[in-house]
Amino acid sequence: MEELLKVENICVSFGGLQALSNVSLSVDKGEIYALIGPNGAGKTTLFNVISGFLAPTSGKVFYNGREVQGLPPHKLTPIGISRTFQNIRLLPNVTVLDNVRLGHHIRLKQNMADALFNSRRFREEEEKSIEDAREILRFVGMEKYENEFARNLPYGHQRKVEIARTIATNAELLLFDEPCAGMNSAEKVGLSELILEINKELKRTVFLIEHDMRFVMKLSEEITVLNQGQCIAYGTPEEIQEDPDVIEAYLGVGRKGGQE
Amino acid sequence: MLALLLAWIVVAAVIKNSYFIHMLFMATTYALLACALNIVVGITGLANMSQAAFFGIGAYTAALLATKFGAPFYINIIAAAVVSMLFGLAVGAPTLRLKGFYLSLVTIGFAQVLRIIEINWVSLTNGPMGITAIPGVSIGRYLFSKKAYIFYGLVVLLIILYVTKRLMASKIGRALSAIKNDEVAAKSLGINITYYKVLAFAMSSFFAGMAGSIYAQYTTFVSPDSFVQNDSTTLLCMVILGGSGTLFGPIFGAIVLIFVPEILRFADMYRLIFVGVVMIVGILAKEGQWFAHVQKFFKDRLTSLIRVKSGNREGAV
Repeated sequence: MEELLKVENICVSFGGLQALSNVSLSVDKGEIYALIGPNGAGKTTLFNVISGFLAPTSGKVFYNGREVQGLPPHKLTPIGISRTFQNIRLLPNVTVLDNVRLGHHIRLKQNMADALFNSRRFREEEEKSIEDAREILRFVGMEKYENEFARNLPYGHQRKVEIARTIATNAELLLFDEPCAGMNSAEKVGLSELILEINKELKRTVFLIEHDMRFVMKLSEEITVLNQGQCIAYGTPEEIQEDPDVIEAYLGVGRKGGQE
Repeated sequence: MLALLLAWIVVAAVIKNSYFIHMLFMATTYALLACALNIVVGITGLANMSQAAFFGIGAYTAALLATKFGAPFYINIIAAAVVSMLFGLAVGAPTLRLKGFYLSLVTIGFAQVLRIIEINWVSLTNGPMGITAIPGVSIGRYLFSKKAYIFYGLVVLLIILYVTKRLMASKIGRALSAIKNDEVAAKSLGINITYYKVLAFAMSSFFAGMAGSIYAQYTTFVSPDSFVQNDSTTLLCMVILGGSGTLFGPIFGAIVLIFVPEILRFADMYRLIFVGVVMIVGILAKEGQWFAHVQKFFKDRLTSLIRVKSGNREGAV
């Protein structure tokens, strides 16, 4: 399969703290890839590097064969990388619809003159943007709440709106940072179905961080396990579940039975 | 809102007393400046403490053009806006990566530097003596009366309001409010934070420059003392008091903070205490949304009054 994202020997250190050391992985086009690991393993740090929020101390990131490490987020989103955050970052005082429409920012061609004189291009673009945003909200099942302020939605719904916003950017690679944190099991099932649909129907590549092992095992095709800033294992969910290092570092000895 | 504008126009047309005309002109100018500042402070969420400096740049530009070259008012106002905007870009581009207090400090520093230049570059600005005898605005043979400047200011105010309203409904406005709400989220959506911050800063200083040109030709005199830090602070207060980020809020803020100190002039030095109290109460009343609260308060009173009256009638029957 064609390689979409390649991370090569990424190191990140904050002063004396080595947050990531020599992390390498590669995500293929069209797959669901998971990054797991205990708290403080450096998962979010790696996401920050890939999405441009953090320049790596050394190492390279390739996206579609192009070297992109150190580029700012506003250059990465247009070429196809979009992310969600561990603590949801919707604009609280903005409606759900407008939150999703923010994802359209990079593709709207309107300029200041268009806005001032309400030009035809402006009106058409705005209409199209509203329509598209509604369609995405329908896709994630949040169309009922389009006029609600984001702050008024329950946590699980906010998460879906945030995911809808990344879809709206048209990015091919979606990075989800712990998408089902704080959700109950019913919500988790719904979310994993949604992620599968995003992957299968919208043909987006999904790269996610997750704590919930059951969630990851069902969803992802490949998994990399991070512990204390290093890759300790890589493989299919079945291989990961059997890996003694992973069991020790992450699942904890003795919990293996419970996971199966 | 329309009612307020109409009232403004009617009052401006009716009043004869030159003191009232002056006060109304000042309120118009400050409303202008506050609305311009609102683009940076209210919509984009940046603490700009140098609005009066941009006002001053515009005023000096217009004063120099009018006295040295006898330029007509439309050249003055456009040149003032552009020069002020260039200063805005020059200050904004390198400093808008800063956040919160740091940005405020840099803008205060900029205002001070500018004031020192105004005082010391005597060959250009005539130093502390200021530039005097600036010709007023004239169209053909008609020389603007003092009153006419109120309308001149109102026209520019309407332009600012229109621009702000249109931009707020566009991609640009959404990007600015995203920056105010959550910079990290804005970044992740591909919004070039620095570009939009500088854009907001430039727009705000552009309009401040316009206000400066109107002011210079109205007073016919500019000096470094006309644009001090205190004015910047007052402007910031107007935006916050009126409701930062709202379209019309800064106008109310300007009206309150221009007229209340004047009305309280009899109380001499104590009036500033009152202004302070107004500020604190206003901001505490839900972060500057006080005007909406006052409106609601009166509306509720009115409806309950009507209800009570109709209730009495029913009782009588």
